[in-house]
Amino acid sequence: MIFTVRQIGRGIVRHRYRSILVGLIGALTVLLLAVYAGNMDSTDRQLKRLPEVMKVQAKVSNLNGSLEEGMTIREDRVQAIRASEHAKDVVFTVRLRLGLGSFTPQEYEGNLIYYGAGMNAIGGVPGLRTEEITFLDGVDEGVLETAEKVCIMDASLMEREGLHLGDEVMLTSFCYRYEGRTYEIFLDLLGTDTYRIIGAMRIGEYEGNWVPADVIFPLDCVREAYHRQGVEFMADSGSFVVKDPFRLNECKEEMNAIGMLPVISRADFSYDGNALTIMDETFIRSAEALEENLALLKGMLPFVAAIIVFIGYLCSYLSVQGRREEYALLRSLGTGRGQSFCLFFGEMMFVAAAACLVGSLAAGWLFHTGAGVLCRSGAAFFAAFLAGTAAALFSLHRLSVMEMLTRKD
Amino acid sequence: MEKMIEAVNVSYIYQTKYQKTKALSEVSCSFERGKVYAITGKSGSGKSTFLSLLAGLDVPTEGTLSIEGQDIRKMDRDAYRLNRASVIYQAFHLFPLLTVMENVMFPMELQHVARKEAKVRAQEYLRQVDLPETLYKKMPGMISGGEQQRVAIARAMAAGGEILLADEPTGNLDSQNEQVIVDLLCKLAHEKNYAVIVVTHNEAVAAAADVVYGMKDGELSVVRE
Repeated sequence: MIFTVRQIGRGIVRHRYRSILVGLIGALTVLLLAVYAGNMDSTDRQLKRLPEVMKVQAKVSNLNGSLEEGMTIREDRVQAIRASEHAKDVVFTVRLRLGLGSFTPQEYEGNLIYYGAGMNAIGGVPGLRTEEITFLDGVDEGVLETAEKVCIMDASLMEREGLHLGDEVMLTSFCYRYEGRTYEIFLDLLGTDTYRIIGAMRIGEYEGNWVPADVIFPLDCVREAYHRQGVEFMADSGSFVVKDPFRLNECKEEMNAIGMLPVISRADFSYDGNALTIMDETFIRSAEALEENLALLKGMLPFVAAIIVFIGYLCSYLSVQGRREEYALLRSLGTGRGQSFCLFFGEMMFVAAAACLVGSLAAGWLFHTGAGVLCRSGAAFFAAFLAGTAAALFSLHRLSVMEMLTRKD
Repeated sequence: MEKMIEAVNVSYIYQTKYQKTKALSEVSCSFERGKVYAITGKSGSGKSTFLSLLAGLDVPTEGTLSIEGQDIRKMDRDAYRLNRASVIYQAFHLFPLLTVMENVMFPMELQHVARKEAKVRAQEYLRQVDLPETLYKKMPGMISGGEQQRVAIARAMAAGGEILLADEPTGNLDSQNEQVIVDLLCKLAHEKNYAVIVVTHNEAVAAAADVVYGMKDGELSVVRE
């Protein structure tokens, strides 16, 4: 065993030029394979990460797409979209008008001076960031997902009215009613209720088209107020992110079933929020380009694999065949077939391993190829190389030693 | 004298997919220690095939070949070549990337002789074949054909066997070197008690042999005894 190991080492040193040449060819092959496999891996990863990087946003609009807020989105559609397995980050809002204290519709003048909004996530107020809200201890924006009678109030309004976090405030609210036929907008009383102030907001840069809300309520809290008053609940705007853009068609089918139609630009104006604008063009273009690339790379795989196997196999095969005289001499001196095989195979295995290591390191250094890809590329070449070595040695086993050594050519 | 190697009705058939060729036909002969044997014959007459069988590189298709009474078929033929029989070739066949000294040490290393001991013994064998010490560290390619063949003989001696098989050992040498090699082979047989079997075309080599066999179309006959 020690003799075999020592002879393997000596063989590598003695045949160093041949070993270096074969090793370099091997390293170059592994490098090319790693670059190819790395390219495929990177494209695959890009494709898988595409939904995170390029979110597909869907916005509820009216049928001709001219309105994205100030609409009437039916409660059944709101609830169906909120419950959909294809939607995430769902945000629905409903707009209100408010006044402090209790007053009748006839007393609106001088009282109905504030704007309110019901929503299930902070994202419903364009430009408002969570850091711009000071919450009561133990409370966060998740409260908007509940139906609790709480509110987030504009900080300057609180200062003017002498209100503080945790205070209870009585508010009379009115909801909007859009008259489709005459395009008139009416306000209907929703009632008077007491709400606990759980947050104070100081919005920096409002990005919406409408007047920013002075008070924000949880969406379901507002819905319940509608129900108590016997008014049909209608959301004012809605949006969501498609959970899995690779299942976009399933999502669209479900939305169709819910009653959300694709935008038809020729349609008449209406306040009815019954259409969906899905911003999927960029995603689809990018996904298709990546898929095309990946398909092309995968299509080349059999050829690349064949070339790698061919180079690995041929390189080692020729290298061993070039030493047939040495093999025959070893056998003639009394080295058994097994030991001769071990001597040559061990030497070639070391050369192949060194080639894989050098090729992998070069690929990692030059192209930042991942460890998994390097391992797979190295293993493919290593296997092909050793298969070539084994085949060459088995073919030598079949030849007559005397014939190899007495050949005069 | 005791028979070292005995062949009884040895035949050898090369068989391919399409044809059979009888390379040896019922060869019977024996070889003793302390003698030089020459086997002469034309190319393709079966000389090298017979040498290959004697070296244990192959086994007879028919007949019996025994070494000191033991059938070669039942022997560990690798061990036989390692410890008892050595072959030298017309083309010398030294390891080109080993020095002269390392080439001679190689069979001893295969026999697990310690490196230091192998070196001492290799020097002794090289002295016995009259190779100048200045050549010990040279590569085979840097020395003459006659010197290379002497190294091959030293390597055969290093294996420590008692059978030396030679395939046209003077085929690549000039007449001066040829005589040196012939003398060496005779010395090994007569002084060191080797059984030396030489396959040759060369009449001078055959003339120096104690026994001469002729090989024709696979059949062996005694030319001179």
